[in-house]
Amino acid sequence: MPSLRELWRISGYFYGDLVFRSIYEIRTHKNLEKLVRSAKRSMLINKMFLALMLSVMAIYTAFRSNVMDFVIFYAMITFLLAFFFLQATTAFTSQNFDILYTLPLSRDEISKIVFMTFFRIFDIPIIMVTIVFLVAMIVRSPLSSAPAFIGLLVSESFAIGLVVYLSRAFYSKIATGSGWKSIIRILYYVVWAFAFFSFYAFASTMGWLYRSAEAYSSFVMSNSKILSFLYPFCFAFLSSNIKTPNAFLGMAIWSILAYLSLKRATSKITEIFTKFEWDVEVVEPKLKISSPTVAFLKKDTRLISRSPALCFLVLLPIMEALILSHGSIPTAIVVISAFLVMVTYSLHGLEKEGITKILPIKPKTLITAKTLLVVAIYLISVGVIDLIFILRGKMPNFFIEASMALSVFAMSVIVLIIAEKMNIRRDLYSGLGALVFLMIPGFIIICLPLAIAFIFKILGGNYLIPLFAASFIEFLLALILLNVL
Amino acid sequence: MSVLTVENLVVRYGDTVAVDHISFRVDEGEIFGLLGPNGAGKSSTIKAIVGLVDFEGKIEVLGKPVGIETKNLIGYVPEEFMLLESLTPLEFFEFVASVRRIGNVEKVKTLIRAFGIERFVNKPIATLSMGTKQKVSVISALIHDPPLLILDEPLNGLDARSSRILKELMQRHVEKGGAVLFSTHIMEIAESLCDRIAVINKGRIIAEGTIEELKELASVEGSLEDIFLKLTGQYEGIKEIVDAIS
Repeated sequence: MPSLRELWRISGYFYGDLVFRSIYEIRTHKNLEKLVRSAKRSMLINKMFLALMLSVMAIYTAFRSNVMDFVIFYAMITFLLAFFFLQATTAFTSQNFDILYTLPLSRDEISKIVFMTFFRIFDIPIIMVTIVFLVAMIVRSPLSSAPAFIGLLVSESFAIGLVVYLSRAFYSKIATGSGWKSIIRILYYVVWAFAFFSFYAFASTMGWLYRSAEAYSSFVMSNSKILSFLYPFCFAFLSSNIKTPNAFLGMAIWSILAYLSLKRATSKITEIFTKFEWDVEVVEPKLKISSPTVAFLKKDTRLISRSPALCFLVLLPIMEALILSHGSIPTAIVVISAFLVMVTYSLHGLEKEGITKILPIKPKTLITAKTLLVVAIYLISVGVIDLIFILRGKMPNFFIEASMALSVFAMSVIVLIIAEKMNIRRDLYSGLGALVFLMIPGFIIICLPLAIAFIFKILGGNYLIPLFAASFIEFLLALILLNVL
Repeated sequence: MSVLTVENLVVRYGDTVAVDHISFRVDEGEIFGLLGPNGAGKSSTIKAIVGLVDFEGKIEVLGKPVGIETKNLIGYVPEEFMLLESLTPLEFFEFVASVRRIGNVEKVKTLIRAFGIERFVNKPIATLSMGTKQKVSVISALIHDPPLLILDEPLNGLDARSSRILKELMQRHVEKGGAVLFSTHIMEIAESLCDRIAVINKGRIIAEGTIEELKELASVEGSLEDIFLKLTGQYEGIKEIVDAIS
């Protein structure tokens, strides 16, 4: 029977294969050795980037003493890891591991290898944030470091569990289909989105409530008896040196649940991509031929609706809109647009498949289709904000929103032109470094009109016309670039 | 008239030369076979023609250099599937047909019936068997009625009926003035289908012509398999290897 160390070593081969596949289809280098090195380097940069982000959060939290800071930290860790692991599930297929079933390995060992391969995708961020948080907590308060450490492990376990259970149920039952299956899929998405985004909404909303109202902390303290029993409050109370019997009891129960969840996730991970049964009646095939741009829009919409990883990425700006609807429109637009750069990048990454290379597709068609989808997501996001504004009796600023739609259009076109010219077609999980590179021009395009408007506002002039003018110029420039492609 | 012209084609992967200055031509009404051992450069040649890898040299389809314009002139069945697995075959055909701007969808329906995949057209491609996926791949290559068919191991996984249909379709295609570039490892099929054959080894064409011409060239009487093994220098030692293994 192979030892855990041996299984870990075997998982390294599958991880290597996964890394290579993430880049092989796009073949940015002709030299295969360079391609392999490039894939490994790119994955390492992604991991280091995420590790750095989580470590900064960990150090910041460790040196705070308020319960709410820890609550937000645990919720954010769960959300971020679940989000990135979810993106990684797109790389997994049962075929990747078929070879294992022909080797003298038990099902349990195969599950462990698959789980370890999955874990390896974000091993450095998870290990680094755990160590950094533990060390920082020991420096700040040795007594609180143990429960804080356990709280982090529990959060990480829940994130992995959440992705494995939900992916398994989704991919094996309702990944695609029409009619009744579509309704079930939507319902399933609602349930999943609720579980998935609740951590994000929770962390974001709590952060805002905490910042905007000191009274909220007193609410938490006055309800500590109940809250301290719940995850992640029990760990947050203990981490900030508030030791109550309920918090200890909560920690014990949630730790056991996290352990069981992780154990079950390990055994069920091989079923993430098991082939699903499908009852279909034979009907006369119907095809609706459309223009290439519409065909891309339909294809992308279908792919998004069948992939939780993509769907939640697209929903993220809308989710952010919900959270930011209490603030100002320009701030919300800037934050939503930052997410939209990520969406643009991921939609373009869908075309890394070889099929688009053998079809007569002009870059202009591809970029136009992706941009229309990005603008649609932007409009839905600001529509959500507007709706909440109106319900609260406030009047949204349609002029700013419409002007910024032009900038979002320009951002998407220019980011995609750069990506096409530099042959960057990557997944989010495997191309985080390239995303950061593309976010810079994208973000500048979004912020420039707002910055100009802000200057005019400070100077006491009319800021709406400069805002529109700047956005319109960006839009025209994007149109010109699109037409000379 | 030449449908496909390849002149001095070179495909490199870094320092490795996968295809080394090869030239050939596929004419109207011709099935041209590309044979070679594993790693000889067949698939790299095909990938260069369809635009999947960069190359040096000249490739023309109906007198036009390869690029976006020639993509509608080619129907390509790759050795490895290039399908969008979460779509159903029907959605996939719809996407391909729309991008290729095909007005008449009757051809697609006819092909679906011909290859007997009516029961599977609304199932996700990811759930289909290898054979059914291959049928989806073949149909998507045929729906736009291209003058040049490039088929890389197209009979892999196909059942007997579908293999026969595809072979008949290839024959009909060339009878109507089309051309087929066909790569296979199955010598019997190449022998029965191809009008001319090029044998590639280590990135170079080492022989080209009709079966009769190749027999003459290799000084071998027998099947295409014998000629192929002789030409590629793989004939010697087969018996000894089998004896050693068994």
